[in-house]
Amino acid sequence: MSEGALMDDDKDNNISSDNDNDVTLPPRKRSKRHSQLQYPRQHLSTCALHGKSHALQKELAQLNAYMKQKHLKFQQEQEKRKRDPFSPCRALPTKTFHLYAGSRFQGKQRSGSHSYDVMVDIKHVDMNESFLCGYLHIKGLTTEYPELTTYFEAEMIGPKYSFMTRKWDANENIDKEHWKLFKPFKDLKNSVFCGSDDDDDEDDDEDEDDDDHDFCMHHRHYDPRTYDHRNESVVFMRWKEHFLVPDHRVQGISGASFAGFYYICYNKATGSISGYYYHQSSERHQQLLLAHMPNRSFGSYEFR
Amino acid sequence: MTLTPHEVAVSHLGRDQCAPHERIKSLRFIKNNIIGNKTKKDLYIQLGIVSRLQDIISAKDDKDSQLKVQAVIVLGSFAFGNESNVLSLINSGVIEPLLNCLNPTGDPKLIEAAARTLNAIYASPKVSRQHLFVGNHLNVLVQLLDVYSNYSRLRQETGMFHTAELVASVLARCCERPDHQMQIAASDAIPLLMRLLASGVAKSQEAALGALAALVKDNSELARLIAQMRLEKNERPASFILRLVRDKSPTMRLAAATCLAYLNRAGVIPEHNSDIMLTVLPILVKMLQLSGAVQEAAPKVLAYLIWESESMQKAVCDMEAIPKLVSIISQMDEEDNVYGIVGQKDKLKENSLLALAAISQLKEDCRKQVIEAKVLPHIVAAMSHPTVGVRAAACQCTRSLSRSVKNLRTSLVDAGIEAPLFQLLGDDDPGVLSSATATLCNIVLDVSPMKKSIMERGIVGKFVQMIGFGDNIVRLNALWAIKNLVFGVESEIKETVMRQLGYRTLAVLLNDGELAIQEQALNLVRNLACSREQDIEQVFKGLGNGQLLGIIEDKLTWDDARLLEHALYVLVNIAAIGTEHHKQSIMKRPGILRSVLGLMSHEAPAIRVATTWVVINLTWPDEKTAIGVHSRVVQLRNMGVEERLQSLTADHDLDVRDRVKTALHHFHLDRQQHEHNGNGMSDQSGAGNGRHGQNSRYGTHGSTGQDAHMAGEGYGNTGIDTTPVLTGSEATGHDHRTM
Repeated sequence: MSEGALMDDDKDNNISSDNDNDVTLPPRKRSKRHSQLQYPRQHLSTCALHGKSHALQKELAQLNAYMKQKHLKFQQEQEKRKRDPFSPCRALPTKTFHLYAGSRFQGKQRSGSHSYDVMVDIKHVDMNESFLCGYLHIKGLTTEYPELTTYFEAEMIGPKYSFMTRKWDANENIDKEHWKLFKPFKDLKNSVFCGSDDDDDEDDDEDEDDDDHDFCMHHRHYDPRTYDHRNESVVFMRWKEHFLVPDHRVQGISGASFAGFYYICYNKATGSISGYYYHQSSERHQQLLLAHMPNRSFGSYEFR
Repeated sequence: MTLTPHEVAVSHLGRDQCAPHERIKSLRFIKNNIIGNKTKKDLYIQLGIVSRLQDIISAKDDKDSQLKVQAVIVLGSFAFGNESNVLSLINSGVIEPLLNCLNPTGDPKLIEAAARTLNAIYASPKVSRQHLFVGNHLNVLVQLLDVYSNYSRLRQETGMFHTAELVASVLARCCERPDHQMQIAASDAIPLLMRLLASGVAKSQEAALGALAALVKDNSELARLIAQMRLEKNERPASFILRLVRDKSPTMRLAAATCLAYLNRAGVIPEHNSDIMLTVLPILVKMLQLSGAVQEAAPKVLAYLIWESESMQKAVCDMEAIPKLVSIISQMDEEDNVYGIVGQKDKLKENSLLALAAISQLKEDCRKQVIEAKVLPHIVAAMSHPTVGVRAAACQCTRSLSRSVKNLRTSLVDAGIEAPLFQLLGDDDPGVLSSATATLCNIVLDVSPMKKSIMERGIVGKFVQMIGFGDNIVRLNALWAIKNLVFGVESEIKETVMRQLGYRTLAVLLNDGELAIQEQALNLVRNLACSREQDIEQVFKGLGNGQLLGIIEDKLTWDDARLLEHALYVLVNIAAIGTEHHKQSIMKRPGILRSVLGLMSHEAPAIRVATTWVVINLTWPDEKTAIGVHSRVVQLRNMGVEERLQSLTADHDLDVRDRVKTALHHFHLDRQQHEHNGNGMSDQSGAGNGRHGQNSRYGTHGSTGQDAHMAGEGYGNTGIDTTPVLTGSEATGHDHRTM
């Protein structure tokens, strides 16, 4: 979200996927390490005895029958589940570092001399789909709305999404210009954008402490076929706001716009997120800086 | 009083009144009268013809097989396409004598007629299949599949094939229950069906495919058995059937695709995955544009095939299946509006909805396409359809579409699904109820604007009722919904929910016979005991003295990753925000600690991460409870936890490694403090507080900011990952700017 007139959401949302993650989750077998069925404790000891007393044999027979009956019931249940081919598939939640449903980030967005408080609320994460979404709260952007909240979706650069945006009015030059603002991108730069040279380093005006040396040490070769955010210590993303929360039907807010999108770099180790807002007719390089809000207890939900 | 010709004809059928040729003549008269004429059929049934016919076909002597043949044909005519007539036949007990007519030494015409009539009777799902599986009937029936047997050589080949097709169809219709599938397999039907499949006679091949499909449906054992058989030239059945998928006849294509769909879902033909993608899927999608029975069945087969496969759902999406399905559904709604005919093509509608549900189950991209196709109003209307199958399928659609925060916030609200959905909770049909409750699991999430109003309708009370009285699927869904509902909510809502559910019920659910129920119950505990100290206290109090940790201790000995993960996170949460007393009560359970230690080497990274979080939180440096922390560190170290952590520093999972660093740092801190200073916790967390001071109103205790700080430090030190990261300097710079 940025200052400016609200524009129509871009419809050109070409999402391509060659990520093939079939999640086939058969009904789980009930298995317990020690004993599958719970039966009265005293039976356990009698099993070990070899006594032939009538009472004992009767008891063992009862136990046997009990187990069989339990087992049968269990099998029938399993059978019933197994035989509903249209029962919902599991959509297990994923949690990686600071990216999980319920996680929050807090910080600022800078636009020229202004600076606005921002809070990001992650609502759903699907690392296998390279997807996450959440709310972006921004304070003080307009006087009419002291706090604005938008719903946004993230594309994580990796097996499913490339560094090349190819939509949202961003061409390769725009991509290059923005990704280069992130230090961790530097060792990828040459192999992501062919023919990119270090001579355009003057663009790095946003980087305040410019200790390039650390990063030039290990230039790596970027291969789009194998590059996977799951194996990286930083996750590059694009965040695109889609509508306002709570009322998604509100169309225009004077003085604010979310027609553009953010280039994002999330650092798994520190939990910090930095980003740059891009929109054709907005001020360039408005910077988003967020820190993960410490949290050590975790609930979880799962779509059905 | 004069008799109508019909009454005369019926009276002629009586055994003693007439010569056989007279009776045959009457039967022919009746046959010609009733064909395709429902009124006449009803009339004859009222005249009591069924018991007369039954007498004829039950006669012991085989001399007048001609008479029996005619009687069987007339019975078949009654049965054909009319369920209530079928039930009248069944009530008169015709199945047993019909099965007796199949004796292979008897008149081939009689056998064929009997097979045809049985096939018509078994078209009704309401008819019990039990007779077939008693005595020798099944074996006799299966022998008739053998078109190359000695018997058949003496006969007309075409007739034999015809009979075999009918028998295959009867078998296909008697496979609903797994034990019936197994009995048919045990009667050696499968090799005979294989021969029929390879016979080259189109209709017989179709019939064989139908029977094979019915045998392998939802039966992985038989699917594996059949997939591993060999046909001529050593060919596997699946590759043979793949050729039939390209046949010129649509019914053959459908039969072959159905069979492959079932084999594929059973996971027994992985070598044909690409054939399924490239051949079977497009053929099924094309069938959506045909008409009649093929069009009706195709969407269900499609749904079945792709249900669990993301890649297939995506592929079908790319084949433009969605607009085709949407046009089927919307066209039907238009026709309904014009002619007021509801119910004629319900099956087509149900199956098309099911296909949409399947396509949009796992991929957000596909859900988006369904929404954009503007079909949602039709889906919502179908939720109140008079036919149960349509209602249930429509609900499956809303369930799939509601697996998305975006849809929950926008299109589903706009379409007004809340009211019709709530309505369905009163539905009598278990299928409708289970898909409605499943949808509600998503509707009650915090991101859903419908949550508030549906709670005001008293949804929690309904869920609690269902947990008490529903079938297993409904119970599971209702519990699942409650678990989702309390995720991330205020203490107040948690308390309101638990007042209705009751901790006693929760304790019972935690030990339910169904593992799936236990998992959800444990997840509920995890969500309840989360975020605030008082929430943890509530759960401790609610479950009663020591019960909570007793339950966790037990669950940690189970071999189920989901159960283990939730149990571990209950500990994580208690250790994070519970009181000192709560934390100590964990430490007093060596069973729990041993399990945690053991699970630190679990194969699933998510479990290893969870165990490490338990350790992190138990050893979290906190000046208020410094002594407690130290004693916990010492106890854990003595158990070998620190050693185990050391071994995890080279874990292949990034997240595990990072958490392990934080945990080890805690041990390190403790050692530093207690080597230099007996109880010195003086210089500890002040720095963290200062640096991230702005966070403290959201953060927990005085520990704000350490998380990131320490993790970052650990990361830089070990240099396991060579990728440069934004570490301290960036974070500091950021703070500088933001404060």
